[in-house]
Amino acid sequence: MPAYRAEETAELLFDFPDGLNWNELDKQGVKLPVRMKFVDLVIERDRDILLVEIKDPSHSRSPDKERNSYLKRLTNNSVLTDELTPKARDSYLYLHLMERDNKPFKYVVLLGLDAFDPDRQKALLFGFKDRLLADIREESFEAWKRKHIADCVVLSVDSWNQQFPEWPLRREAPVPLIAAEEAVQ
Amino acid sequence: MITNLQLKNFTAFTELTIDFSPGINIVLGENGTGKTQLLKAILALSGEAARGELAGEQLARKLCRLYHPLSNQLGELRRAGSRAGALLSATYASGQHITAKFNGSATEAKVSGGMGAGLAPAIFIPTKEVLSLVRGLTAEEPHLPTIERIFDDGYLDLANTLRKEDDGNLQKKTQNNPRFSSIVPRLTNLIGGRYLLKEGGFCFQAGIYVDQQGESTADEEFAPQSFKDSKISFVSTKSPLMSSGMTAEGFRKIGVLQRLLSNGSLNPGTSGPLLWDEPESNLNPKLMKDLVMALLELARNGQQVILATHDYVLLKWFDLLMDKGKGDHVVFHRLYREAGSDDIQRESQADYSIVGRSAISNTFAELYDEDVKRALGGE
Repeated sequence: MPAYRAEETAELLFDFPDGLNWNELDKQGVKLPVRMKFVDLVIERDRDILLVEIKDPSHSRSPDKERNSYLKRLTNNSVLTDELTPKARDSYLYLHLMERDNKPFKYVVLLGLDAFDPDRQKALLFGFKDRLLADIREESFEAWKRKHIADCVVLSVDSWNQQFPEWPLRREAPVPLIAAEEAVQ
Repeated sequence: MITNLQLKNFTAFTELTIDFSPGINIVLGENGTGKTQLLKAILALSGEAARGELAGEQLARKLCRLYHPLSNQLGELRRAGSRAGALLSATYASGQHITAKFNGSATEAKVSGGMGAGLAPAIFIPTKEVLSLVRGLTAEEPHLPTIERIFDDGYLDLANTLRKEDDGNLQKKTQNNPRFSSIVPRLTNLIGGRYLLKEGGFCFQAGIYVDQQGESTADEEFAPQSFKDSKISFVSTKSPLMSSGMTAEGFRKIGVLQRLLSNGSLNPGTSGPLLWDEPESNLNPKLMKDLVMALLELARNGQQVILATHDYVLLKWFDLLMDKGKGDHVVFHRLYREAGSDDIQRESQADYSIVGRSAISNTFAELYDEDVKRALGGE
């Protein structure tokens, strides 16, 4: 089976074994419901359904400036409220209307942070999950009554591979390290 | 200002030498790596007890009251299992040097070099909040044996220091040094008021500092530290005074710093090192940023600060707020044990990356891993 990549130019490649029940939700070139934003992948496991969203600020063609501005958006919550939370909600709604909501949904956000040093990655991932789940649960002036997303995780490429060794993930082009100092600025 | 400390066969330490920055020193390490013991050693060596003709006897008593050894004998503070004598030694920026030695059965220390005068004593802020204990600890007829059984000398020393009357110099200092003037108002506004000494104990007066040229609405009796001639002055609210015990413990910790500054015990540039054991305990993480700003500001004005912590948030704020352009000098001293060894090691760096290798950072990595495991564990 060929490696999966979310977009043509994407550098993160997944090797999914044959037997695995997965599909693309954010399909290119087909008609999708108006104004709905979807996560990239849906993977069905025995006891849960993973909604997988891939964010790759370490892409080799992202200039340093762009990477660092992405880092800023990550830390000031705009990626979270503008992209990650709406995608979780719309994907849930879509799967519900498709009668595919028979198992709890877990939201997996994969951040390609490998261009940043490990300390920086830890600092970013730390606390991000709590903020994401809080945002998913309460998008308006009041919290959703239904806990449509059972839980979420924010993974780096490394932690994806530790967590899902049977679905290996690799980066096609090597990425130079950005100094931690620079990334904070 | 202390420049170097050496401890040999003393309490948890086999051999430890540490050079201090004149600015901020942060001692980090897991529980049981001797952080508090290190601070107390500096306190003992930098105080009155280590000076004068009776230094050997006084220092022995001081160390026993600080460390509370079971038998109350100095010799017990020699590192367990060690046959060699214990040694504590400190060097100060003024060139003064003090060394204390004792063996396992000693009741007195042999002190050398501690005769010099003019060494400013260190100020130690222990983990638990002290402001609300002042009245009980320093009452007119305290039952000292009971108090000393409960509290080590770190608490009693601070209670006595907090009780000192206002030195009246704050206003002058404030006007001469505009940067210093921001610290007390900042601490006050942070907790929405200030602590005042009244009838031997502390009470809380709600209010804030406002920019108010030439005016002062503060009550004269309670406001000797008002900056009446400067632009900024304290304005109290109409709410009645509160007992300090009624205020949040985190606020009382900030209040300790506020009081030390306003009664002149802490006088950047002239006072001895400020030793603070776990400033983060009972402090709302939101207050942490301002506390770090205040400590940096104190250091910029010549105050040496030595903190012991295992709090990631506190460390991270130092990393984010220190400004080398303003002359900030922060050194991280990490205490640790090598696997399979009981000896405490030290490494020091002016670079925050040392924290990344410490247990504090590992703890968060562990939390993260456990969180991922729970979410994706399949249950």
